[in-house]
Amino acid sequence: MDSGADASATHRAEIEALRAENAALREALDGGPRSPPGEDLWTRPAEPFRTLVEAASQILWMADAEGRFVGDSPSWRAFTGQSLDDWFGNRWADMVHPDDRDDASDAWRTAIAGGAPVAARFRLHHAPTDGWRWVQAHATPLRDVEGTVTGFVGINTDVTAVQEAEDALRQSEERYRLLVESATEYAILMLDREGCITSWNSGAERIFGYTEAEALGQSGTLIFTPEDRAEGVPEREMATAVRDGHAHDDRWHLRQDGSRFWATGVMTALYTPDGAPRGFAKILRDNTLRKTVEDALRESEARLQLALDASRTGTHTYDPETDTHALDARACEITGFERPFSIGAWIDRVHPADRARVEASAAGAMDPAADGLFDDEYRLVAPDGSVRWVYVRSQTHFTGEGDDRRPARVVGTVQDVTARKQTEAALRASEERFRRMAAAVPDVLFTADADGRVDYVNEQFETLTGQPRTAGLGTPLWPDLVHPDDRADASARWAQAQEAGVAFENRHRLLTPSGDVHVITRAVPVRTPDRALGAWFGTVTDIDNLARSEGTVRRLNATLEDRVAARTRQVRRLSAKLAEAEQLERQRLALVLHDDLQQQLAALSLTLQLAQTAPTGHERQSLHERSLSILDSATALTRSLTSELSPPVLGSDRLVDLLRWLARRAQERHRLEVSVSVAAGCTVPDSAVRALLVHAVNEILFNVVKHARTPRADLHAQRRGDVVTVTVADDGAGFDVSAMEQSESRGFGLFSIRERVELVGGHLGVQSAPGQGTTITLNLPCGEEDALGRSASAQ
Amino acid sequence: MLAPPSHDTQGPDSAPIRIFLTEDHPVLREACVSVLNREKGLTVCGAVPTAEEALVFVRDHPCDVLVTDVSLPGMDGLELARRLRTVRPDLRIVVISAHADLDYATRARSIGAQAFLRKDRLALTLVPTLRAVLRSTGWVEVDPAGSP
Repeated sequence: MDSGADASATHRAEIEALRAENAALREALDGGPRSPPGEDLWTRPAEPFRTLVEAASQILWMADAEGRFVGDSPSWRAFTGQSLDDWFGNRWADMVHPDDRDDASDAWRTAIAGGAPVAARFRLHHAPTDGWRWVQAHATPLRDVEGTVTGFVGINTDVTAVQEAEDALRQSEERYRLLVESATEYAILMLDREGCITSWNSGAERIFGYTEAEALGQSGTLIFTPEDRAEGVPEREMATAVRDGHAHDDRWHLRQDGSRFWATGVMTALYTPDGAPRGFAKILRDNTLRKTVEDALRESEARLQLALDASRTGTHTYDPETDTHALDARACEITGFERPFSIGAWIDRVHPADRARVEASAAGAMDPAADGLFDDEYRLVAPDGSVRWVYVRSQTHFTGEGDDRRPARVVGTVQDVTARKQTEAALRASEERFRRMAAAVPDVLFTADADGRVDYVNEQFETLTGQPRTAGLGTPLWPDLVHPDDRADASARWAQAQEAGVAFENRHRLLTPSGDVHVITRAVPVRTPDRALGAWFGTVTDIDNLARSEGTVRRLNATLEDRVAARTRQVRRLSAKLAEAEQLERQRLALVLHDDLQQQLAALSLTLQLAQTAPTGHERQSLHERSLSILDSATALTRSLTSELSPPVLGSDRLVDLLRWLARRAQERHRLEVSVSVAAGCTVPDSAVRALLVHAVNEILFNVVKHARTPRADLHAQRRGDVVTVTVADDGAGFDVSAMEQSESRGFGLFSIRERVELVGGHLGVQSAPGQGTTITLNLPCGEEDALGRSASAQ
Repeated sequence: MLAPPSHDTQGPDSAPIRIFLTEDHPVLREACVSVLNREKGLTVCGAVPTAEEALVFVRDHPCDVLVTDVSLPGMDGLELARRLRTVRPDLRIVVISAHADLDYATRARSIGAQAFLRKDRLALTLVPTLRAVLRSTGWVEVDPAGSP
């Protein structure tokens, strides 16, 4: 194409073509065809049209029935830059994009073969830009009067812009389609104005179970539950969407298989460009999992609360910024705090015996270098003086790093463990009793599990066998220690008893460091509540020792008689003192009655008589008032006397009531300030013990007033099992206890109280030294407690 | 044994009979003073709570009748009566007590008192007994119901 010959040929051809065109144009203007026959009669009248078309930058061409181009197509050549030779050489396809070339050629060949119209779209080389432009080619067959195809006329239109727009649209649609199709997590569906499904994506298929084919054309109510359908929920949703533009869809929906799921989604109303509603789009997802998780979380929180309630656990938080504790209702109930309070207020309420420790561990929990854990059991003294054990566990959360690290918040739990502490104490006491008992009996005591393995022996095992107690554990009946001659028999009997689960008793010799000892070994089965064999309890009695023991028993009996005699003397002495005290008390009462009450009554009677005969109303009135005043005074006297004879407070079995009354009395009568702290739930059910307790504590307080030279005393009481312990402490003058105990002539004072206390099985302890205050501890048996820790009536 | 009363208690123009009271209970003492002062022809010339004060008073002041309680702090009323009887033989003495013990009446009579009154009957017996004592020279027996 780039040779000079080619260029001049092209140039020539162009000139010829222009000439031909001019000629044709002229002929057309002259109105007569002048072209030779075969030089196509139809081309001539088309010339003006062709110019018109080409002016519209379209390509116009003509071909004969065999597809050979007829005539030049300047528009083609201008568009493609193809030479005239190539054009007439029918090499049009060279200008078509290689990817479209075959399709375009095939279409053209098909059209030629069939004499049929053809339409094809392909990319054509565009010379001005040296690029490709999309053209739409239309060729229509031309027929003669007999209908024979004589040729084709074709128009190629540049449709690049259209094609690009179409491509863009297709890509956009494709993207949309991919989006909708790939959004399998979401059901995306379209409804028409009547609510019929018009679109159904794969997410909808997955979520609802209906295929697209099944869903299309169905009513959108398909996916609603029957109850929602009955209530018109689908219609309401559409109405809301129309009104507001969208409607939330958070509800249970129905799958094809009838199962339900919790959906979260939205329905959007769609409008035509002129604003008329044309349908709805609905997007939703299966949120069952999230709802399930939320429900589970709620349930878990409720369970936690239940657990806190059931375990009687309260919670507390502490804000170090504001130094404020806050408690929930349960914690308030446990601690007796009602309003938020400072850490200092909390520490003040910790029992003095625990305070230093609690303060130190609380400080430790606030130390940024430590783990922030606080875990302790201690006593709290409530404002009413009652003492409770609490178990507090809390975690300090820190904020900041390095030197800036500081406590930000403390969260923890509070539990009332008073009952447990009491139970533990009772258990300890019970174990202690058992241990003492086990140590006191002369026999070997042992327990064994259901399989007969010994798991406990008392100290007497060592004494009897000379073996360490650990040697007594494990082996049933210690066959190694049984005399070889007795061993087989003993083992057989034990095996038999064990097999049958019945009591075992055997006499045999035991090998001991002091030679063979005759023993009786006994074991009884201990059954569980369901009658199964739970354990064995047994004894080994040294029979040789029995004879020796008899002598001991006789000695003990003699001692016992001495003690009974001493006790009798004590009771008599006490009884005499009581009688004396009673007499003194009567005299005192008589004195009060005579010296005061009777005088007042006599004065009253005189005054009334005066009033009766008073000459003036004024005087009468005055005398009546005087009478009433005397009467009041007499009434007060009798009330005080009654209260002294039998204080009403004795009707209460709560120790805290009794001690507070005593404290108040000491304050009122002697200006002695008495603090009272009593462990929660302390009661004294036995009224006789109660009276003795009140009397004793009153005497002790009076002693403080008389001798201690201090304005203060502390009363503390607690109960362990059936023993109530009251401590009266003062920081006053104190005294030499031994000197005081030797001087027995103290009348009805401290040591008389001791006798009365001991008579009911109690104990009075005195701790004092000159200048070091006095602590008097009073232990009194006060009746058994029932299983709930409350006192049962001892009467 | 006793001189007749130096005043006619009934006479309108005569000076009132002077009564002196020993009673340790202030309320009763005041009540007695009020009752006696209101009686025509009677006046309380003094009232003290102890026997010791009574001895001093009687020494320094003239009076006609002593009314004394038995139970007094320190010296009792019977001892007071016994001592005054020696120094003032003309003094009329009426003993009162809250104890209705008959022994007190006997002892009062034996030391020369003219009457014994129970305190719980004072409202009815005090004034009539005083008048009877002034009229009489000997022991006046008092009916607990009120009439001497």
